[in-house]
Amino acid sequence: MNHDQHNHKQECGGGESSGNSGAPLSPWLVGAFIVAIFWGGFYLAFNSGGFRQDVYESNAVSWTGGGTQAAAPVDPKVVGKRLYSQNCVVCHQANGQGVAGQFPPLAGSEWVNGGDKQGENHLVLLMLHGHQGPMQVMGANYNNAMPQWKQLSDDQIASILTYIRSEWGNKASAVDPAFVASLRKEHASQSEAWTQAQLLAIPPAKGTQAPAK
Amino acid sequence: MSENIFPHHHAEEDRGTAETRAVDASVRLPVLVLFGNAVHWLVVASLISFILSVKLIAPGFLGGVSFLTYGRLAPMARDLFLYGWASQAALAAGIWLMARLSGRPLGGILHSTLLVSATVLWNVAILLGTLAIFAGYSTGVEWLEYPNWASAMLLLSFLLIGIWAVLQFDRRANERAEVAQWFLVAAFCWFPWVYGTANLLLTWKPVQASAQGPIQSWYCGSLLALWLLPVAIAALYALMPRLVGSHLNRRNLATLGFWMLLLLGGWNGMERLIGGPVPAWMTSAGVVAGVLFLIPVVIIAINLLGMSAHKSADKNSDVEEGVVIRFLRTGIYALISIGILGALCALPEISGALRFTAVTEAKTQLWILGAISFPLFAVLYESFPALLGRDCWCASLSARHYWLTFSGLWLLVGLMLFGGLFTGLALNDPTVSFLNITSYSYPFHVLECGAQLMLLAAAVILGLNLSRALAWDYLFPKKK
Repeated sequence: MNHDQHNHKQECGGGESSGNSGAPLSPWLVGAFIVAIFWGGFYLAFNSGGFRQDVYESNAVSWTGGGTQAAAPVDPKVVGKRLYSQNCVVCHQANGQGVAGQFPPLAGSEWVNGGDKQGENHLVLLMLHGHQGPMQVMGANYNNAMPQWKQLSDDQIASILTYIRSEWGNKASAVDPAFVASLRKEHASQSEAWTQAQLLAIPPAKGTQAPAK
Repeated sequence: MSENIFPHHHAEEDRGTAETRAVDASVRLPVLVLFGNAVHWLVVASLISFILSVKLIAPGFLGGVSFLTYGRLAPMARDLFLYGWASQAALAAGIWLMARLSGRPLGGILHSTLLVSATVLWNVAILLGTLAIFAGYSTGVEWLEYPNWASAMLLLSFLLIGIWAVLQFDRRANERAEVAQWFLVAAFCWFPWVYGTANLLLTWKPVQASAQGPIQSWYCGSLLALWLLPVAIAALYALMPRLVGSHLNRRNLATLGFWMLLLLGGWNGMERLIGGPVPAWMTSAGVVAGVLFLIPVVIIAINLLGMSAHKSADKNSDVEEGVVIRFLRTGIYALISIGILGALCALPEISGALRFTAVTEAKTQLWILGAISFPLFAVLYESFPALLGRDCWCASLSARHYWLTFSGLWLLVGLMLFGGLFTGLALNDPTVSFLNITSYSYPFHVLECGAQLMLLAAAVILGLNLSRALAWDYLFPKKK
């Protein structure tokens, strides 16, 4: 093919006109591009979730960053129920009744509900280090062993205890993770499971945890 | 002079100046080896794709053999299309176009040897990686299924090949770079970055699970839009004006298109994570990128399609349009379809209905087999006569390859679009049972099988044409 007629305006690269800007652009085209880019900016702004890393719903948070539907705090009872069904139901059963003569019930138990009879600290310590030997619960005698659960975190233990203290008709207050942490530290030297006598020798600690909701 | 750089070869003696002949001779072997291997992988990938399409209508077909199950063949075919065919052909096209546009021969026999060795490494990596998937050692990450050692080999060999394209650009004869050269440099710099980063974060040392989705989407978008597509666009910008005998008048528009592509390319595809465990702003940015991707597409259409329309209305109605320009033009049409389809499917209202249907696959096929493959075919058809120094193509095979690829692609994409639309609407209708929906899509799968057969036939014809050209050159070498 012969394109000699174009040679005068070509550099050695060829194929492109040498003028820097080239033919003028259609104002309609420029206008359409501007509209599209503006739309993009507005769409992103209104659907960005405030550019927060913890917002997954595009319209949950407005573009100014404020919002009411941001991540809700975790409900300890939901977490506690999950952990309970993973770790505790085998002995204490899903209905919290335990097994007569073998595993004590949690529903209505004075150990679980604490208060003036058995302190909340007894429940936490029981959970942390386990229990061995004879034990009286709601007037019935048991003689079995409960393993230690100190491998669980303070949050997890507090969630489980909050759950069992509010389920099956129990209406005791929530357990604060900080309370679990303080007891864990205070009794760090305890390596064996408690006996009932040892536990009852520790004075009940009342009013140290967050008030009931 | 433009006709010296990409001369249109009508007569044996009209092969351009001594300068371009020297450039061609310096890259001859690596480009031939890269293109030859790429076409060979294209045939294998098309064959596997055909088997896969048969499996969709007859699930028991070859189902008794573990290494021929759908779960292994599907990633094998996809990776062969991406790395065996498209990436390798893009390397060949990039090396040849960059050498031609820069107007300087590649320095010495050493470079040629190094390039060919790196090409061998690339193909060994593809072969071993494919066999690893075959044997069940896939990484399980979409488009990054090759095991660690194979992906490391691919990255190394890309660096050894790609560096020459960038060096060629650096020592170009023309001081002001051409539009095609911008796209080539960007593409050759982008692939090592995205491939290395994605492999590092997903397969070599995987990051936490919630971050893997966005990284993987970013990789898929970048691989297509920032490595393969820019090479295809470079082919369009380099070849189209010269073949049509016109000039690129709107360089300023091309600049905008270039930067928009670089800005949006990586975000393209992030919208497919809507509803997933991903911060909302990422998916929203994907939606915006999907819609604004129309801008670079429109710019390419205005710059190049207007030019070719102008010419065909002009005078040369007596000259039959060459196969190269037909491939280029179909590539532009495929790109425009991607722009429109991508913008529509990015909108949450539409993607909610169509995201989990064949429409998504139609879009991917349009990318890989359409907008990327067609311009690469054009470079293949344009470069071989120049490199071999003769009209090496059998014209009837070339024409058949074009028509079979053309009809196979549009038939496949059309069927997937309509089939996807039906299933998408049915999936959102609670009164239709899932079993009914699968039976709706059955006739589409049967026809898709025919489209895949056409594409396989096209690939085989291209392979025959290419083998014929190379065998001719081997048996009757051209005297220097």
